[in-house]
Amino acid sequence: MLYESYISVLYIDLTKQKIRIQHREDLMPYLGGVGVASKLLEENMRPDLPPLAPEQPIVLAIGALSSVFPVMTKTVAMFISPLTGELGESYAGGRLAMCMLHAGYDAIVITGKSEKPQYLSISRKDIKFQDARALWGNNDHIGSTIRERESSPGKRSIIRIGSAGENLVSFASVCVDTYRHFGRLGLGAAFGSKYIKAISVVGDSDIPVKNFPQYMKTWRSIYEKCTETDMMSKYHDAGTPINIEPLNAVGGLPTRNLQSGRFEDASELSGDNFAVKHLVRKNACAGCPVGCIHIGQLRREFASHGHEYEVRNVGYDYELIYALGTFLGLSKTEDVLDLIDAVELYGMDAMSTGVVLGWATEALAQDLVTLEDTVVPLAFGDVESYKVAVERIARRDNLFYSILGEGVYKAARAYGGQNFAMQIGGNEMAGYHTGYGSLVGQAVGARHSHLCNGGYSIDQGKGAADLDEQTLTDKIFSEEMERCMLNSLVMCLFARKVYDRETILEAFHALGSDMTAEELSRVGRRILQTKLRIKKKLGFKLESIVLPKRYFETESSLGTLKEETAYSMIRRYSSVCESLLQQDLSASASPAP
Amino acid sequence: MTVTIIISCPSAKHSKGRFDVTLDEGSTAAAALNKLQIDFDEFGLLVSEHKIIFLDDSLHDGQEVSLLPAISGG
Repeated sequence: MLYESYISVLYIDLTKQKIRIQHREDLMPYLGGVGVASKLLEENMRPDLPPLAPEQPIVLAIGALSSVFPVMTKTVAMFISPLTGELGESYAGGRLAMCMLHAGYDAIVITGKSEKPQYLSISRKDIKFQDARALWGNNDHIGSTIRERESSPGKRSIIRIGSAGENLVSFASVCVDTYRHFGRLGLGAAFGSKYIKAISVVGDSDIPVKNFPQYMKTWRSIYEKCTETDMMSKYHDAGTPINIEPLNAVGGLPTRNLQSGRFEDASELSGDNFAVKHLVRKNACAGCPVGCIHIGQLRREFASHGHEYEVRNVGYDYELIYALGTFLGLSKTEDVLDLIDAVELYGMDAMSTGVVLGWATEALAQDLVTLEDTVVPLAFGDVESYKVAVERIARRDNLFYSILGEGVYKAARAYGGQNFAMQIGGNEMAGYHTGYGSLVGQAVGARHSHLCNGGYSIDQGKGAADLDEQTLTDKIFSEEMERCMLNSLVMCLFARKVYDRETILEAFHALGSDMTAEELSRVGRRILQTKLRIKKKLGFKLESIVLPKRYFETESSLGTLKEETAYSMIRRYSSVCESLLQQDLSASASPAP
Repeated sequence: MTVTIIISCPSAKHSKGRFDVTLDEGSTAAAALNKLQIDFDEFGLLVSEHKIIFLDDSLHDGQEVSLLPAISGG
């Protein structure tokens, strides 16, 4: 807790409908965010039970610098992923971190299962278990209905699931304050399994700032780096969709289920074109001066006669355009926004949805599945069929869509086509086919995300094509540890250039902490070690990773990748992890050199 | 020799366009950008003939180089 020597943890038991609050001094060595959440997950998880068993915990945590300095905007969620069966970790912006801070909770641990659908109303003064039976089954107006019911003053954040979460789709998401999400790895299904439709958090207290002049001086210098330099300007300008053109230029843009790394209509789907045709608004998370959330407007007919039109405001980002655009061969910005809107409505992870649909399209073309299974003739470029499929996945409509809702790894195991089921470690691939950095980075990353270690970034560096296996493995490992530290703060990773070590230390010192660079490194190691320990307890082994053949058939930005090289790198990484697991990183142990 | 710098993703300071620049034989990509007064850091990525190239790479006559934003995590 800010200015305190403990971490404030709110425990919620849905089965007993009881809460307790603990002030945990022993969690301080984990700093906050992903550090504290990892430790709480490890303490509360049940490796002997399935991911969606009522006993399994959901942990939400904010960081050591959350909301106190610019762009410290994220909340981390940790859980057992129903998609991969192992470590679930997902980040979202919005207002949640600010509201948790002002409600007085660094972390929230939710276990058990409600008897009937509920939403939780959390503030410093009260925790309420509210009836949500009228909301269950609904996808629209959840936030506004809760806002109407809740009258308490304060800063409010509402997070909620759609019907995909209710129906336990393994890649269901949790929507945060309309335009942000805990997208990856199926937190929405974890909510659904507990009969939790939504959580409303009200920040109803103030925290007086100590040593205001020093705090303001540091705050202002960080603010100016965010707003008056080039460090973050591209995120505000066209936003992450700007990635489409460079990735296409270097042949790293996954297209039509990664049949290619280039898309002939990439310029149509460029960030520039989305902005010119659709952009109507840019939003920011609470405490961010940048505003990277791009909202596009889509006007569409909603009835076939009678001149019935509606306007939808749809948030778009690079990963969404890749997964629901180039990966499915959609060439029109309107079609991509339309499909994003459908995925958003039912509450699913856009990346996983695009990848499962890409596999299904090819599986149908190769007669691994039939039209009776897919109901609609899925074909690259056909948005109307994909919209039907999205709804059917969310509803788990028939056996095929029910299995598709378990993710592409399980679908391919059931029907075949593993060679083109584009997952890594059970998680659907991210939008980068840039080289070994990206591929191996996602394979060894603790949550199999491109953001675990930013391997795609290594692939752009000078000499990337000639990096030896050990050097590349070391780079990935070191970046993964660094990001563990950054995610304990919990900052938006778009600001990682702003928050160099010196700036992070300055921020801590402005709050009266005597944090050192050595301790920050140690925190990173400690967190990664905890995550690796969790994965091990859940039965995960890096050696069991199987990469689909297509990664080695479709040329990447750095040429055609070799299977044996990728697996050799994974083995090297595994031995580095084993060494880390042996280290004594307890708070009382002497610092490692 | 003449090389062409292509900007297809406009930045806050530079608009779209193709810019021809005359340089000495063996000049680098950095020299080309310098002559056009373009700040590389505002973009971050150079691509020519479908491959990433770097500021200290030498260019040849007639070469086209795309100046693009660096690829970042979305």
